[in-house]
Amino acid sequence: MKTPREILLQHHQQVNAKLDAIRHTSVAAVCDRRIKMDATPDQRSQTAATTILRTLWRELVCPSRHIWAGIATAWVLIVAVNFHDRRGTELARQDLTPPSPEVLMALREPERWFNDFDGSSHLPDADPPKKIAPAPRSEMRNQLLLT
Amino acid sequence: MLVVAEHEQLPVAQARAGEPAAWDTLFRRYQLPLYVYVFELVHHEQTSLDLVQETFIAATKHLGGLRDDDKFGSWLFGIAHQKCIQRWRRQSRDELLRDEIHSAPEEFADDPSELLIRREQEAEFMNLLDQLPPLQRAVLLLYYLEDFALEEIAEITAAQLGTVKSRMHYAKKALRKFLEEK
Repeated sequence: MKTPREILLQHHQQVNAKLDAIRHTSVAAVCDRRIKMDATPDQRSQTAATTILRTLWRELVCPSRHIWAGIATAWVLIVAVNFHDRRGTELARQDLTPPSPEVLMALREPERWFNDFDGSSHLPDADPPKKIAPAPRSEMRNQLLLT
Repeated sequence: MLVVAEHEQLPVAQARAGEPAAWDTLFRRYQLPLYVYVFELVHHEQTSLDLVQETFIAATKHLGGLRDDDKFGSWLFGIAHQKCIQRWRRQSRDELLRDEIHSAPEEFADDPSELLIRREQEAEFMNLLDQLPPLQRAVLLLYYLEDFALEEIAEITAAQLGTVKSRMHYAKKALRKFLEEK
């Protein structure tokens, strides 16, 4: 003979293993909460920052993730094209080898001839322009009358 | 023999302090009776397991709302009951309303451990339990599983004491009829 309680509990004994797993999960949640409570202010602020980031991710990014993915792809393409162009320019610059000293001499030769012919290279430097202070207007009028 | 311990000392105060070992003890004590209660109301294993887990998580979050540590058991069953009600509401309210009978019930002074069922009657007992309207079944389960007082059952099920007495009356009447017939 058994009581209703005994019958009921024995009828469901086989589920005890699953209930143990649930118990462990629930106790683990308690441990997590305790760790959070015991955390230092720095850790707490870090957790708060993580929470904010997660919330932003969930509320901002996730609802329109296709749009964000499209924008991100466009930016990646723009950066890739830009990088490719810059690299091409650099390669083109590298391809321009500096002229040899003979070529440079040949290029400078006509310039030297012209200087010799003109003689400008031997002329002394011109004096800097003199600074003349303007005379008073009354004196200027006298000078004009005299002339 | 499984018997509900009288005035058992449960580490509710330690659980309030967030001690995982205390929670483990509390959950270990109530996990099977709570599961049986929920399962006999929803009749689905996975749903029952989910509801038990939800009850445990809710308990860890809201223990601060429990005023009397001695009422931890009825408080925990109350959470589970509310979760079952929410589940029922999603399905249908029809079955719930079947047992709202407002006749004056007789008082019950008998002890749940006094009712003894023979081995050959166990399966029929479980079948009879299934046939009872859900809220009568809930009252009977709380009475048999944890030996809760009618007042506590009223608190758990958020019902008037008179309504609980009425439900208990009709549930026990059906059970007696079944035992007399056998």
